[in-house]
Amino acid sequence: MNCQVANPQVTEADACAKPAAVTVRPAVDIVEEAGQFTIIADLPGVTQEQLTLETEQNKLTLRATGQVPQPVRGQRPGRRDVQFVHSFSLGAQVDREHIQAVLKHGVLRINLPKLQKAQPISVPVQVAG
Amino acid sequence: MTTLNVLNGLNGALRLQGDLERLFEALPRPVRYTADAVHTGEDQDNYYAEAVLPGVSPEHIGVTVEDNVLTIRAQRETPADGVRWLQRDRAQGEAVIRLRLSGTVDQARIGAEYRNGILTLTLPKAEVAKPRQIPVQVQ
Repeated sequence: MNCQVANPQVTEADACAKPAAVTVRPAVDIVEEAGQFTIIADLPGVTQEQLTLETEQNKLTLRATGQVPQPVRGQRPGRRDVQFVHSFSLGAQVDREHIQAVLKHGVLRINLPKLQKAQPISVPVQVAG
Repeated sequence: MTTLNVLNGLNGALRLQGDLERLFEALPRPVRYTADAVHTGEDQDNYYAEAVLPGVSPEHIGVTVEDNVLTIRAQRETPADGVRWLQRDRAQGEAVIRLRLSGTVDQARIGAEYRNGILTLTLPKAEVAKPRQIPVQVQ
């Protein structure tokens, strides 16, 4: 066991026990451009395998488990499991079939294209007679 | 300035202890990673410092040592002009983190690794700072 017990009231088993994952809401930016919305979420310590993104009806939910540094007395900083959870309501103008997401350097970028507006159709008028 | 007191490394680590926990207690506000999210520690051979810097390109992270002060500069991506902000939680601009080093760090061998938005610095201890076993002779 490589755990230090600084407080005499804490047993070695308690000191070495892995702390439960805390659930947090990630810091998120949302920007709107002409053709799309972009959601940018800080997910430090998260790898692609630890991330899920789901849509259900008008809700987009991201769940990710990452490991972020936490101090350990007198040792190399340990890592603590953190669960990032956040849901977004999708407006009617989001094209849900073409949502794309990229995870890079601990940041998730979700691109939500807007639905193409129906193009005006010109109806040819035939002149009778 | 964040101080990594390597003459008394344990105290230095303890001073920073709890920063992240305080951030997590801020629920339901989002967790915003600022330059405060730095944690230090040590083992027999090295001191360590870890900084949470999500979304920074590795070429925009600079680590320098001058006059026994280690400085981390990380330039976060600047948002594009002409977009409409609907929500803005994430830290912006440049993060600057300074750690004061003492002579017990082998400054020539400091290493830095950036992975998944977390920067880990490894600061090797100079030989004089490592624990030594003193042989006891029995007469």
